[in-house]
Amino acid sequence: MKLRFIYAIFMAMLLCCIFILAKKSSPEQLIIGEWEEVSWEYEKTDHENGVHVFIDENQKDEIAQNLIIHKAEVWKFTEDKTLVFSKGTAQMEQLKWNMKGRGHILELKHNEIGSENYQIAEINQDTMVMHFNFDLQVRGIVKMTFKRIQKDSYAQKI
Amino acid sequence: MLRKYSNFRSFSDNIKLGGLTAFTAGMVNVVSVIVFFAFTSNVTGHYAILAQEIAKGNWYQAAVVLLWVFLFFMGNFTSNCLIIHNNSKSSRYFAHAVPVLLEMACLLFVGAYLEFFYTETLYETEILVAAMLFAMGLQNGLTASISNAKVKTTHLTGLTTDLGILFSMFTKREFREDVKLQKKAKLLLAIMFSYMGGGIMAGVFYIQIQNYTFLIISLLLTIVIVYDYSKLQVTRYMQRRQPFVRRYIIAGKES
Repeated sequence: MKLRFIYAIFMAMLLCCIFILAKKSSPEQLIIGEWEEVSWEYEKTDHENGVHVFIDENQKDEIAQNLIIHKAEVWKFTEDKTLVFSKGTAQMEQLKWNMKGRGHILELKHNEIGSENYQIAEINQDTMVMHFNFDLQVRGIVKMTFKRIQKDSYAQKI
Repeated sequence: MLRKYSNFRSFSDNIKLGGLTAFTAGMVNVVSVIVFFAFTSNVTGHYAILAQEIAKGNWYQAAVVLLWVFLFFMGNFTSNCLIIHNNSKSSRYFAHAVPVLLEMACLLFVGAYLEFFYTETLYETEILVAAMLFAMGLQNGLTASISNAKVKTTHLTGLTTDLGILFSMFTKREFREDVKLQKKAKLLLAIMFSYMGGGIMAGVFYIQIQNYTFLIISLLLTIVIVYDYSKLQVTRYMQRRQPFVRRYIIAGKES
């Protein structure tokens, strides 16, 4: 009797998993769309009083100098796995993107530079938070926050 | 390595099985981290990740991790089922070899898929990681089951715990001189270094030959199967020859 109860719990957990996987959007589906950079922060710094420090434009340029993601403001992820970086109306860069792990790693592939990996700490319909390690001046993690650019449908507009 | 069961196994049997399978487990783990950014032979981390994802409310990721853990569980379940339901003398080797064959099939499937079909979608990644976890479950279940839980090739948390306890025991002379404990320490160290060695070799191989690393892993598993098969064939041959050998000895004595 007890064993049946344990089997029932196992089956219920499995069915829950299958239901969640069928109903919920995967991070790969959630990321599709246009995202606007909102902020860059030091998420964790090596010194003891590691408080959140905002990164100004100069630091941002210095950090991103050797990265694929340099100086972009809007990131557009398309279904054909293309990522377009743009600033204002100018398109800056175009590369390939993939998701790895359980949907927590964003891999960006550039033809010349190679590939870079960013950790997706949070992703939902409105916000995306990405982390990446860097070793410049102080060692730590940069937290990049994005806001989805909502495209109003025709019905919403009228 | 595979023929003997439970307490009938010698120290040498365990060290050969433990060393080789831990080496492959280390290789599989490193390759999966390189390709998929997911561990496939240490489930302890997955439990921590599962708790973290639930706490964050990331239900999709939590479900994926829970399914991965379940696949590892199913690997262990399948392995032990095959062993305990075929525990007759005639079918024992076959029952112990089938989990290794299934493991090889899973790993070769992953290698072949990566080489010829992989389009780097998240769905494919999740399925392939699941297949690798199932393969590691099969291996861990087999080694733990046939060695009476002395050999666990992917369970490095438990192994490090055992080593810590053992080495603390060795601070007393009576335990230092205990041959059983010495052998246990040698076995655990062999597994630990094999696992690490496998990981390092996988890193080196993957840079050179990429997905063909899975062929090397399968080759090592083939050694595990073929080694015992050849021993079994020799034993059978000797048993068949025995009446003639006996007759020859008796005839020799009479003359």
